[in-house]
Amino acid sequence: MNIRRRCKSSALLFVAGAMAAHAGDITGVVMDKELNEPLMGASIRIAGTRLGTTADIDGKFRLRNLKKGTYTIEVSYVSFFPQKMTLQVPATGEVSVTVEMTTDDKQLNEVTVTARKNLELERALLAERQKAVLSIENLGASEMSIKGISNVQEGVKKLTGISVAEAGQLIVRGLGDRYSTTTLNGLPIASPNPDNKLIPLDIFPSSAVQNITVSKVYEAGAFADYSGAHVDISTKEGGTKDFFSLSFGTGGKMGTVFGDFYQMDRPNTMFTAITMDETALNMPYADFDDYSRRHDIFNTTFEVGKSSALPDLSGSFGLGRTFNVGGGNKIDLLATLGLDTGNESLDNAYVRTFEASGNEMSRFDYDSFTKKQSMAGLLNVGYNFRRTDRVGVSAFFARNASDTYMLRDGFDEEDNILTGSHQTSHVYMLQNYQLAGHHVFGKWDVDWSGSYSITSSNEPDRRQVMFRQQSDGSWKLFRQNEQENSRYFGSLDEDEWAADLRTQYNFNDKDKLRFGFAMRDKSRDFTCTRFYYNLDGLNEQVTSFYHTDGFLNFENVQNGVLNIERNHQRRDAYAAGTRILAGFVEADYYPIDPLLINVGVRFESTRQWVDYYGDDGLPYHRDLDTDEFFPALNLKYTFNEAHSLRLSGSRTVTRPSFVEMAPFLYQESYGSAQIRGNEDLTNGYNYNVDLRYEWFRPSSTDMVAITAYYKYLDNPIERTQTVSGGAMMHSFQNATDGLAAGVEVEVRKELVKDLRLGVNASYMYTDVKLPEGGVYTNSERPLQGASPYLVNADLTYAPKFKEERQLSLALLYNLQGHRIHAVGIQGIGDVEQQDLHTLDFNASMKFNSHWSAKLSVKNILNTDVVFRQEIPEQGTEVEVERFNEGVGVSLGVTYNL
Amino acid sequence: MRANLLKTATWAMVLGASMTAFTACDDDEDEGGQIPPAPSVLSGTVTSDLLLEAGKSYTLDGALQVKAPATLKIEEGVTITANNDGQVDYILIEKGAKIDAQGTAERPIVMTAEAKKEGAWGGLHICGNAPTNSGSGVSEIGNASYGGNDVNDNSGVLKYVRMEYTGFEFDSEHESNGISFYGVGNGTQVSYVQAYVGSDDGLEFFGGTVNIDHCVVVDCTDDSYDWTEGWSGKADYLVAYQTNPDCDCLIEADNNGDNFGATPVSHPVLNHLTLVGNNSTENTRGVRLRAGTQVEISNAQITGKPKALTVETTQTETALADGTSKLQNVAISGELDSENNIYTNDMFEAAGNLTNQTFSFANNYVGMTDGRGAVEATNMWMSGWTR
Repeated sequence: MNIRRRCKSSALLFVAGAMAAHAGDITGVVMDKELNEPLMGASIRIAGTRLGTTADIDGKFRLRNLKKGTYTIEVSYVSFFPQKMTLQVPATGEVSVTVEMTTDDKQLNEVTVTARKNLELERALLAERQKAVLSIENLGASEMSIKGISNVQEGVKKLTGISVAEAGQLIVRGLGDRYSTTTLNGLPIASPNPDNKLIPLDIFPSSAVQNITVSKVYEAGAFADYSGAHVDISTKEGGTKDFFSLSFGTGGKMGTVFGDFYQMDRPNTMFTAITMDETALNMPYADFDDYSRRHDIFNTTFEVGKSSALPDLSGSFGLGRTFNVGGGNKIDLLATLGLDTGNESLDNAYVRTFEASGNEMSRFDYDSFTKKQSMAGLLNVGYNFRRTDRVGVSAFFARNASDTYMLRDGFDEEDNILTGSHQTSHVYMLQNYQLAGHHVFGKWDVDWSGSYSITSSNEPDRRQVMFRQQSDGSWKLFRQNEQENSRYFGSLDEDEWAADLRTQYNFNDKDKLRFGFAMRDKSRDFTCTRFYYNLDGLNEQVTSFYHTDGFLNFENVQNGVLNIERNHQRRDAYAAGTRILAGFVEADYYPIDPLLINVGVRFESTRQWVDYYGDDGLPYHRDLDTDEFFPALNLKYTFNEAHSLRLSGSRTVTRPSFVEMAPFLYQESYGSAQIRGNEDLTNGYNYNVDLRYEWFRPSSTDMVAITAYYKYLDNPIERTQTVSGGAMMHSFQNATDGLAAGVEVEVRKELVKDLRLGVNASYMYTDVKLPEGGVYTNSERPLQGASPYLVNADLTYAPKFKEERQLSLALLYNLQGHRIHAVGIQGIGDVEQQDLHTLDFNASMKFNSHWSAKLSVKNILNTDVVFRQEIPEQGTEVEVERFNEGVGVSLGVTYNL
Repeated sequence: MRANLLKTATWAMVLGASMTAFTACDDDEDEGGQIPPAPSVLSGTVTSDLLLEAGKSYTLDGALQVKAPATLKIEEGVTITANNDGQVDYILIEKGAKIDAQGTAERPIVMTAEAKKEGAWGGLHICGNAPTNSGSGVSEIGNASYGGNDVNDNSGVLKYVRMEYTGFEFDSEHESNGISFYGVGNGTQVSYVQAYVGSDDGLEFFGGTVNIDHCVVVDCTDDSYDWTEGWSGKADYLVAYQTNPDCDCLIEADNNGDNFGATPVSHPVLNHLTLVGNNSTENTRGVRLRAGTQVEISNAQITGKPKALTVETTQTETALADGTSKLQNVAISGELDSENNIYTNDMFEAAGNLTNQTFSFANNYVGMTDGRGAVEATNMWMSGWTR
């Protein structure tokens, strides 16, 4: 993908050569006036006749062999004001014309979408797709609005071959998170989630997003660490027209809202993270015991409160202004700010484990209650000058916080009857500052950009109280291990610098040479501390799992009945970093008119390191340094204005993450697997081939795309399982090889006026052979998280009544095929998540130029999420986990000034 | 701030390590085959032989990890005390490395902790090349691999060794045993060993073939003895004694908790046991045979638990019923508790074992009847070196 896509300009070379002909021609080019870009697909017709044509990819058209005389041409395009022009056609030769089209804002108005620019519109984005050097897919703000998509994560799921697994992990063509990459306005962005390479995509609300572009093929201008997808999120920018909008929404999950809702003690609102006495956290170990008796070092207790769940609330505002500063130069300004809060609960969910001969080993039923709060703000200022040049600066801030309370009850592998009371709190934060410019110097285009981002993942005051049922039926705190009653504080901080400079030399309006340099430098710090409660002196009366203040209190710490032990091993902190210096050169070359050859090569010099401590408390360091080339070839054969064929091939890399490449023991969050990296882990390499046929029906949004792909994975990094002291531990190894292949089909069709159907479906095959010596049951299997099939279908009805009144109704269906959720070990099969069907409905109504409203219903089918596991020894299958996320309903109102 | 902390700590550790074990090894390499003596503070990775000299006291500051082919030689009367700085302390003998710890009844080797309480330090871990049924495993701490095909593998000698105050919390899922035997082979000698006051198991076996004799476990609050992953050694003269009400099983015996049928199947042969529980109404099981384990137990007395002897899982009970496993001359308080009624109390009694017995012991666990038990008043083999 050309990551400077947004700043692209098309040089308009106007050829008005004298031509030897017996009749005259009308030639011309149709331009989008605001974007100064060609308007492919515009329809040109000679008034009062059937003679006509459409503009080609460069906006050009030619009407041939017209008798000398006066003609009126009518130029039209969906959502633009039609233009009429009267021309004199000579007896021989031609007359040339430039038609500048302006957008019909009334026609463009989309319900609740605030900032608006062409690249938010489906029609414009489809044109981008068709025109693009690479095969891409995209999703604009207006389509997101019609489909009720509230953030980027929900958005990418609607694209072909993409699904999202637990914890927001993106699976593209069956390839997990490690095979994809995310950029924000073309620049890399750090992930605050140590388990995932990609930043959680739900951190980007639709209100701040102009469009999402996904490229599943590689071009040399991009960082080479992907094989699945490069997801580029373009934030909104000003420049179209002034606007001001305010939105407000409410709703909730059926079964959650107004129901009982439980949370552990919290001193403040979710706007602030829970803290503790920093002195106690950092003081010498020898002083802690005494200090903790004299100071109440925590700001929370283990007490659980019950309330009634309030409805979800959301609000956002957007503001866009353009100022003319003279000389045709403009400054545009855009600001958005959004805040969402919501509650979710799971009732009667359960999870259980089995051993290989089919005996149930443990079972826990649980109820969970999650409060979510997300905030995002975007400020974007652009200076447009010399008609072609632009310098922009943007600041993006996002914060996602969630508090989850879970009450579990059941029995463990030792047949203890237990109840667990757990509270987790998680805050992801992102600040991103970008400065970018685009300049044209004759035949040279120059793009430069830089960014600095700070991300953090903070998990303060995770709390757990475990109760064990006594033989007389009463309950006591569970004392077998001190870890049972504990707290955890963990934080991870990353910062990343990125810079990109690239130039393009335009030999003519088609053939181009690009080269450039890029760098990124990321560093990370992680630390965590646990506090265990020694209960030996305590004789508690447990009357309720929720009310523990009677015995788990500071008074009992002061009088020595309770002992708090601080546990911070040296290995509970690590620091890591990556620096990549890259250069690339690539060319767009048309040997014959319909054939585009994009060929390029990238060089990346990568330094990746981790400073960590072993179990032995000694410091270790691991480096993973590589210098290598990544070639890419993208061919596009355009049969005519509608049909084209694309073929792509590339070599890309998959690098281990920090926690994977160093063997320290690590556990990110409650209940997650214990992970120990592997000091011998190396890069995996991906060889990618894609073949795509595309048909875009001119002047419409109807289209068909069929893609076949094949990927050979050389030394792919796979998660493996081993045992450590009887418990399962996860690690990572380079498997010998793997492959992923599949077919994807995408169809969009207007069935009757205003009623449109969109379908995309993928079938994929994945296979990986694992190294010898693990305890996993199957040494050859599909990739973890890969579904063999994925289907998205949507039906939208968007009629326009009168001038400004517009309705849009959308029904969206998703099928996520079964996939491996957890790998089975010691003779028991893999845990598979079963096929999951979901159906969403979204309706919006624009009443007039000021007011609009929307209604959305998510997860209408309300299907249970079910996991099953094979017991090969018995030839049977058992259900091991089930939960239901419930139906979500929301209502929103927007006021536009 | 965090980065700085880490860097400071890094330098501190580099200095610490070079001042202790590393320098010691290097300095004394050429003294005519003599094993170089260790400094008084132990830590770091040991790659050549190291000597702890008779009667001396050593401080353990962090991990002492012995790599093949080195031998850690500990002479009689040595005391190793784990310091109390909040950081994990443990001794790990990797595959192919050896421990040669030979105390005497009068001058035992004591591995203890500065903080005199359970859970104070991380214990002793020995990894060997003998078979297990769990594929490739790694130790609970230290990330050392274990298991192999050498049933006769030799990890050295433990004799007259007392472990105190083990059970440190390694992470949210693991605490340390007194001694953990990971795939240890029967070329290893383990005699006269005690685990005294710990917060996890006393002695635990992860597969392997090692034989042990004359062992005493007192007040380790998880299980006194524990085996899993296919242990098939011999154990003679075992004592377990519990006073802390939090203590769980006297013996927790598994074949493999994830796969009851995994092979090789756990099949240790135990002879002469005295196992005395804490009479806890909550931690009710004494000897718990489960998860597919096989076993031969003879000449045992088991008491002090509401359920002195329980048998669970089809595989375990079937092996008892068909004679693959044997319980002979075993006397228990109460009756045998059977989960599946494949091997029942009646069958247990029919084999000549005794139920509903009452026991009286001198000195907590001294006393034998009709050959049953571990310690006879006339042969107080635990005297002098245990507590």
